[in-house]
Amino acid sequence: MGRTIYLWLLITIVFTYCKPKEDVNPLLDIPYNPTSYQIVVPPRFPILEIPTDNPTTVEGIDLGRRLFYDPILSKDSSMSCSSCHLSEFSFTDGKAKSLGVDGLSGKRSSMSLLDVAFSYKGLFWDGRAKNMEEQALMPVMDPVELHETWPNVVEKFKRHKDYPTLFRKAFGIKSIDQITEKLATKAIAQFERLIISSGKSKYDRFLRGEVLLDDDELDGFDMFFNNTFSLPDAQCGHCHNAPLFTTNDYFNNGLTSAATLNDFVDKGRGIVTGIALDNGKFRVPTLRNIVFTAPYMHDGSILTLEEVVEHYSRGGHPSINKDPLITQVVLTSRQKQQLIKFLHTLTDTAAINNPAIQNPF
Amino acid sequence: MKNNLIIAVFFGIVLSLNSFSCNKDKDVDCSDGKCNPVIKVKSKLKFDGLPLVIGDSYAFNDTLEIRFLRVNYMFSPLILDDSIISDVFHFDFTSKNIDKTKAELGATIFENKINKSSSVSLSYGVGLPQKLNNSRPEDFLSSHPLSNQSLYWASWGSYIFAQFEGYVKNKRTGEELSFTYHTGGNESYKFKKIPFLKNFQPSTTNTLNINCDVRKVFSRDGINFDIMANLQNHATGSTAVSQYIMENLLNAHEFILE
Repeated sequence: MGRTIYLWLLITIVFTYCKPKEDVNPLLDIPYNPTSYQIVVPPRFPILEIPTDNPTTVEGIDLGRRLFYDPILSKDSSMSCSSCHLSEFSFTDGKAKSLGVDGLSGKRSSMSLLDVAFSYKGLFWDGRAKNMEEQALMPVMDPVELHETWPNVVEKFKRHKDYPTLFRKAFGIKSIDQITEKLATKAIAQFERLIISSGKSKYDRFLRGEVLLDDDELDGFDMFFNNTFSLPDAQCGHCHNAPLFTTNDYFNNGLTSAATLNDFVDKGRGIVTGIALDNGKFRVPTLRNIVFTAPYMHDGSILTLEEVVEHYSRGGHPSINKDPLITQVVLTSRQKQQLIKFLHTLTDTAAINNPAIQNPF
Repeated sequence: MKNNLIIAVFFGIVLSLNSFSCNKDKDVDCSDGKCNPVIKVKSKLKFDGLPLVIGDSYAFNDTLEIRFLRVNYMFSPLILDDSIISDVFHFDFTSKNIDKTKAELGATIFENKINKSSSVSLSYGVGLPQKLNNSRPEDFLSSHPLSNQSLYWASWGSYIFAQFEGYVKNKRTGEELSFTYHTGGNESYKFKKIPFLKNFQPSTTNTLNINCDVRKVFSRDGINFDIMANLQNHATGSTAVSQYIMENLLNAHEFILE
């Protein structure tokens, strides 16, 4: 009898301690209850279209925010998305051309991420990414940016002390093997949609009747949008139309001269579409927070707003497909300053100082 | 008895063939508009009757060559008799007419079944009727043509109805100047109804080509528009140039059913 009891005890102990390890999955103990998040869009902005397969959640944003600021995405853990998109520069980097992890220079300037959620006509200067989720894939793999591979990054996520839990909370993964680059970029896109205008710029408050523009700002406004025949049409609004102050279309703004369509140093949009007439065209950047995003243009070749206004008033450099809207505009020095004063009314510090989009580390 | 059997077999065969034949007819179920004609709308842009290629030069008169870099306009609505085919089309040839083949082919902008087998009239407008023009881009999802921020001009309180942009070159002097013509505002909207006696083939695709000849936009009664004297127009229908362009644009269309 005693022997039988000991035998049963032994069997119980063996089964208890020899339980297969794979059945123990701490991730499943973490609740998956994502909380829907409603992004506040300023009045008169376009409809914010969220992909049906990537709804915005508190947990997705939290994960995306960490990924955006975490150098884990780079080859040597020295750079993150935020290295080229700093909040104090309205999510550009203040450089003419950004440097990657290997010290290599990219060929273009970092674009502002402000209101990037409304970029429905493509992302990057040349529009090579169709949407934000697709865009977030590319800098990781780019040799002049983070120069890493996604399989490596995913392995780093799997080994990380926090990321498996965060992926679980955001996307309900059941094991670390379900962590993918697709989920990572979805999270980054969710976070980036929060980098949005606050509607508190002087211009926005002026439109709502809360403040007045001074005389110079008002004249700048009228020239910018060709509101009156009594002032010159500065031709700005065609490409930098309100409310985003970009149409997100692709233009050749006469930045460089080119004898033929094949002579552009950077063919820009033409590389993506394969259409020669698109060579030398680039996506129009937003002018919101323009005072923080110098140097200007896709190649960062213009240092100040004064020089930008000079470039356009001269009508740019000749090329076959230079946009017909880029033509000489006769403006007095005062009028040029008025335009710049109007551009200052587009400053939106509330947007870039939003605590929800700052570095969490 | 034997003959009766043969006759019975013969009638049996005839009846069964007849029955097959009737079944065939029954297979064609035309309920719920299943046999309605399909209409495919194609837009084509021409200059002097030839396909207009964006970026190519065309003789405007004895001394001037013209080349277009941007051509787009609102076409609203398209109606056959009393049936609205579409509320609004935005014809944008800028990235479509990039070579002669594509320009000849035209762009398919609509394909759907219509609930009619014939028509006697076609109505159309260029620009936007007031009800649509009172809307704003933020009222529409990005897939809708009226969502496009670049086509709305807030200080007019109007969409930009038409954009014709490009360069005009003096062949004698070599001087090349840009031109831009933007129109908008409710007073620029133009609409007309024309006879259109057509039959649409059931269960097949009927292609309606909407052809616009830009030469006619910049010419009236054999007299060309004075481009050199009016290189820019960015204004509502209050200006003579806007009215000229929109009236001509309305009349520059032909509709051909294939």
